[in-house]
Amino acid sequence: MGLFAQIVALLLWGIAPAFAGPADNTLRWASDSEPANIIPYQNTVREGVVMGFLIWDAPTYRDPTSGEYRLHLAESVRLVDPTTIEIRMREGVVAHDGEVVDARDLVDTINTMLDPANRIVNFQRVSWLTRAELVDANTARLIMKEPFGPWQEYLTNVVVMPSEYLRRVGLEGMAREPIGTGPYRVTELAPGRQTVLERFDRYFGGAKGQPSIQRLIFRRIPEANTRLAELLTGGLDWVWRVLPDQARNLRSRRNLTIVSGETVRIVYIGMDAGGRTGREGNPMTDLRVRRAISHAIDRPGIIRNLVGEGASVLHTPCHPEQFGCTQEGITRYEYDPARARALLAEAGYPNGFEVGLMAYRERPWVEAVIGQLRAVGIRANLNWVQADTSSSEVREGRVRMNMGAWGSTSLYDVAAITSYFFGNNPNDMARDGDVAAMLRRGDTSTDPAARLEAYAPAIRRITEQAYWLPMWTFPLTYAFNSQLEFRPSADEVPRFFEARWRR
Amino acid sequence: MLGFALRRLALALAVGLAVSAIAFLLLRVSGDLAATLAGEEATAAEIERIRGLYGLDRPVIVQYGEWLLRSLRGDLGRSLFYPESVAKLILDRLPNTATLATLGLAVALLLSIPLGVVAALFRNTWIDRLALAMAVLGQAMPSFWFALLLIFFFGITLGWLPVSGTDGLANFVLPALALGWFSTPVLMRLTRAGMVEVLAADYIRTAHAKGLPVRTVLVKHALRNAVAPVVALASVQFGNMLSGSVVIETVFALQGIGYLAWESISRRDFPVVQGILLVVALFYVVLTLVADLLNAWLDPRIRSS
Repeated sequence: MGLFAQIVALLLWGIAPAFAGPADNTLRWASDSEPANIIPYQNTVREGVVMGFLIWDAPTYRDPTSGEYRLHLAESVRLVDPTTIEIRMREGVVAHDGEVVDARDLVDTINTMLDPANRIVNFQRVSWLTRAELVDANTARLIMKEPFGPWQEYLTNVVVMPSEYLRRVGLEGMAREPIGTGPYRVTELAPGRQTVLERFDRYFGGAKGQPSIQRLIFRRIPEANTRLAELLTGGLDWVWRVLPDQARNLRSRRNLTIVSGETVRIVYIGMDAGGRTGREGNPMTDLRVRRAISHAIDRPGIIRNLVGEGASVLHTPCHPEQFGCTQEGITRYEYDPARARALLAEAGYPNGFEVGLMAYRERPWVEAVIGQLRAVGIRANLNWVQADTSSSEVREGRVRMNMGAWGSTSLYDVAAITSYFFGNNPNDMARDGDVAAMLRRGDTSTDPAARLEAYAPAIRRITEQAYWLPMWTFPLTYAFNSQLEFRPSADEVPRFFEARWRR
Repeated sequence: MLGFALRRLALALAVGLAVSAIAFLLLRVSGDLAATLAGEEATAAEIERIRGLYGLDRPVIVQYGEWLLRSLRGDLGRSLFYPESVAKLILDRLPNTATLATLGLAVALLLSIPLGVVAALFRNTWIDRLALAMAVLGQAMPSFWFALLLIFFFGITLGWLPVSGTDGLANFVLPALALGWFSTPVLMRLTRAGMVEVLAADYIRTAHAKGLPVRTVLVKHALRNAVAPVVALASVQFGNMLSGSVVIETVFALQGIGYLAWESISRRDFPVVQGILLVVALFYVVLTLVADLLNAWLDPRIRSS
């Protein structure tokens, strides 16, 4: 697609765009996918997370700039004991249908989502809880399964639904005609055609603040070039996931702002250090081989030539901005093919070896890695699969080497990534009991200092043992009307309620 | 005739059943449905939970049997992703696909028949070669590339037509051109071949000898006979277009059956995939059945065979 994208961008160059958005205070945006079910508990796609932030609210809100947890629907939040969170809800909050939202709505939402009969797709949002209890009209208690370290982060994802309406229409009714408390209310929901959101005039503001733009119109346009064509002809005001070559050609255009930014999503290479595919003749169980692989790949070079602006080399099995992701005392592997060859020879592979490499996204990046591995003698045979097949194969212990990406579901906590991949669970390819124990200690403590203390040695050991090769942070490029004031955030959730048109 | 019709009907039903069974099995062996449903970032426990919730832990034959019984009652099930029934999803998107297919076929016929006739009339001249070159170009050029060129020229440069969406008939012009263009070469070549053969026939020479005007000979005598196989092929092309053009629907963001099928396959929304396959198979089965019966009515030899 790269060649076509380049030709497309060249053809588009020099054509003046005409935007319609500022005139009617409307923002038209598009993406390549859309949530089939708009309820945040019922989808896992990024556009669903974005819609969730616009239509619903949670007790707390993580400020993407400062990283601080701020009270939002909640007036106060406190830990009563290591497994109980007490939340006092803000008074006077109303939903889009006028229903007053209080602690009962929080309790009912959580208990509804925890009910197995409701077949929640994005169960991770509430899976750390066991139930919610009502204390009084404004106070609720959330009971955790066990002490859960990243509870503050996860609480920002527990969006509240007006319970009376939910009871009346059920989850399917809510999905068809959503009602929330958020800064925008849904006025048209036509999956496949468009979703129209109008500013909610009775919005309480809270940590999100009052929105400025009157109307948001979302369309799903799967083809990247068609999205650009719409942007250039004024059919759209905002797009994202702009390809690096398209971005390069669009940068010189007036009336368009092109912004590339880092995200919390990261790219990694996993290795079967634990020998789950068998220890006999398995080079991945040898530390020298894993280190050789780490030295063989020119990450800055691939970023410069293929990944593009907004990405940076990663040295830890987590994003540096995630809570607990220490950068101190870690082992870094610089690009050094001579050192890689020496390590391979030392490990008994002077002529390299053959290995399967499973991957499912960003094929040019994967192919660059294969080329660089080959340069030191490692013949990696690409096994190109669907994302879910890759996950299943890893879980089944059938993968010797893989390349993938992980967005931590936008959670700024190592529990959402390091513990997920090294916590002695089916995803764990290293199976290092000590690391798993350290991570578990961090995950089950509610004391931030104790958590940091537990995670740091785990991360140091993972890097020292080269269980993973963290590659780079995933960049994201946006293109939008220059009259739009918009600030991207690293969690891949565009805050349209903070955007405004310059008059 | 009744016996023949019943035999054909039974065969059509068997084909429909076989298609649905094969599709059901293929979907199940194409990957872990529970893992897909749970999402890329789901835990192993969540996947097992989803497997149990959707009954994916039961034998495939039991799952298929239940689906078949429900389908016979007209219930194609519910989408695993959309909060809608499969039937409603298909019915919502069918008008877009039907509009696109009809316009696409119209474009193809309007281009191919005149071009084919002209190429046959001026056989082995530069006109014929130009038409042949167009046919080769049409077949060689990927439809998505042609679609993008249309977007750039008519959508961006001239600004005459919308480049995506389904707001009105104008939105279908570029997709229909792209879709029709792809079917034009094969129809044009068939028209040309038919016309070349018919124009060399004795009865055409007789018609000319009788002093009939050239237009009457061409349209009334030659084209009517030459176009019969074109009509048969056009109906097949129409079936293909009705099955959905994933590429064209994707490029122009048209929400039709093809795109729904593609996204449902990507998400492993198997009730929807299953429903679409059944509907598409029924399209073909019904069209084939009608064609068989029509042929049998026209030609009694077919009935006896």
